[in-house]
Amino acid sequence: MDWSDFRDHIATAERDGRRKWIYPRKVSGRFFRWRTWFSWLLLAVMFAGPFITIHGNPLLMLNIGERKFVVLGQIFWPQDMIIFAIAALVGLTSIIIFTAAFGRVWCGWACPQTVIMEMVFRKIEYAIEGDAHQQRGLNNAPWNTEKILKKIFKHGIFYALSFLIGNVLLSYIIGWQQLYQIIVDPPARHLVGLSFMVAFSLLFYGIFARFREQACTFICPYGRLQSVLLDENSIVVAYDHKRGEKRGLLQQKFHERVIAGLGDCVACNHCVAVCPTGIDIRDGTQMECVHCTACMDACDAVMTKIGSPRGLIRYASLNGIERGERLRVTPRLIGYCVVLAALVSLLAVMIFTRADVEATLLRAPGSLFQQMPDGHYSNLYTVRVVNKTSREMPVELRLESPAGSLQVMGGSLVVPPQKLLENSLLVELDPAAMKSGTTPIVVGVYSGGKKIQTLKTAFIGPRN
Amino acid sequence: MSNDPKEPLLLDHNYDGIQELDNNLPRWWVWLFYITIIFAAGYLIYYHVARAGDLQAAEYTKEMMAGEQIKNAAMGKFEASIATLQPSSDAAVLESGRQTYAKLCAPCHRADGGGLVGPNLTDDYWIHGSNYVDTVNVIWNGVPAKGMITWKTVLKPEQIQAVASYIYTLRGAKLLTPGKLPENQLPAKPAGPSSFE
Repeated sequence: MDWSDFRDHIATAERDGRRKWIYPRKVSGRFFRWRTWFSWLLLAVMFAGPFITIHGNPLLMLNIGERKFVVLGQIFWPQDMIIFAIAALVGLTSIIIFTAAFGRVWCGWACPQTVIMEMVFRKIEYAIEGDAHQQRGLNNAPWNTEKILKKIFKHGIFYALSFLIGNVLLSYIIGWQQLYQIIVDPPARHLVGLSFMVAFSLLFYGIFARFREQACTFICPYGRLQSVLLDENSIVVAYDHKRGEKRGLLQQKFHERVIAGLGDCVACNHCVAVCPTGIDIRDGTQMECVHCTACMDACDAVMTKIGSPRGLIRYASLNGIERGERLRVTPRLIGYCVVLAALVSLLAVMIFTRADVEATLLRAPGSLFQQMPDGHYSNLYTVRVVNKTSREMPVELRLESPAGSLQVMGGSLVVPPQKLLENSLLVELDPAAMKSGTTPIVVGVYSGGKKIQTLKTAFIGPRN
Repeated sequence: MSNDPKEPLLLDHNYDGIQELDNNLPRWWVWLFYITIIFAAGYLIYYHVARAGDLQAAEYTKEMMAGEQIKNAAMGKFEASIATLQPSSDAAVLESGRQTYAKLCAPCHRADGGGLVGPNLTDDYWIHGSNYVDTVNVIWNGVPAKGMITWKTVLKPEQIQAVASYIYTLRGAKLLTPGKLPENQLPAKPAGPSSFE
């Protein structure tokens, strides 16, 4: 095997396995501009998210400690696990369908690894240490004052940022009010939490200061699954080899290049220089390529300078490149979008038609039946009602069958928001409707006049 | 595994045409692997060989036993003190007692204490003793034969004190509808043919 064959080894490792550090050159262009704007939007959402509430509930709170999960203002309790299971299935199917159609768009545009790495940490690195060649020079230089100061400054900011982002993520778990309380409290009262945060921030810092693109190539399963999720019609960041080959340095005029059999690629290697994962996109679609579009911008800039059309590296499908087709909306793409929309609607329907209130009916522990002064028989039950909304819910229970009366102790049931209420219930049956021993009864649960649940249980009476 | 000298990276096993390259793994990957092996060895020895640590079942049993001890101590302390209890007149205690009564006692003793399945708590006829201490004992131990459940497994000592204090305030209360008559004054049940005849 040829070590220079890109297929035989990973781009970020030397022959002995040591890390080959990548110094991507600064890139500028329309895609980089659009990506930067989109990243600022996503970062704004991440920082503002903990403070956004819908109907009084947080936008997103995954409180594992209290086993309460809030997504888009909807509270999910452990008994809603079935929705989570279905959501996971829908999510997985959606990822497969989306990738088959649109390729690896997530990685370069929305993944937190790319957004935080390229748009936050790397920009800071460029600002402090300079562009790629300057960084390389600094790393190869001896440890003088300037290098020490720059390194301390850079890594200090990196760690501080990691700590900040770690706290923001924590507020998605425990809520910002609790986090604020922990911050203003003396640290001695939260030593365990503080040491956890310090350790987590160290891990976070390690990923963005050191680990970087290895997360995409070694850890993330999405990258490795691309080989089964993509087909010849999926959109990828592709080098138009039909137009670009053979590549050759720009030494003669355009028509002379054509005669010499040279394509548009002038072998400037800018696409390799800006790649944050260290690959050559001209070798084709690769596992390491996260579709960050930096090579597209770099090549477009060079093409524009020499007067050739842009798009030598562009978003295209394999078939599009082979057959020279422009990217267009195909029936296949529309079909995939329809299926995706249907799946998302299914999930939305499941979530928004969830019952707001759930009741459980149990026999009062240790009780059988009681005989009333008038000779009728009654059974004592315990009813537990959980209110999943953030508003008070009045709940009414009615005996549907057979004939009798139902009395809730203590008046009416008003369940406080996000709480579970337990109360006693006395059911008295008409002697004519009673069977010997056990009589099945049906109780309806009503809220606001609408029936929201039907409960079936047994009424115990004397055998006769 | 000796490799083909012309292609040193290619290992010699071949599965349906799929072959394996012998690249050196990244150092961090290799060392993380070694560390997991060392950790696994340590974990195995600590938990399953030396048995120095508790497994989950033992941890659970220990926690439950500790909890039981705390509970039994509190209950024992309360039980020993029942004989000397006095009804509370604190407004907050009586309010909490009233809420407990409305939820748990009203089904059988009626919301106003007049008696339904259980006896009338407002009159001066007492089946199990007329002192406050007797009331607390009845609530604590229950009267299983008559259908009064033992509340010591359901209510905490201060809740029992609160509800007993509230019931103490019901004595002599004016009822809007007639309460249940005392046991020895209830009309005799009609003597008809037994259901087995």
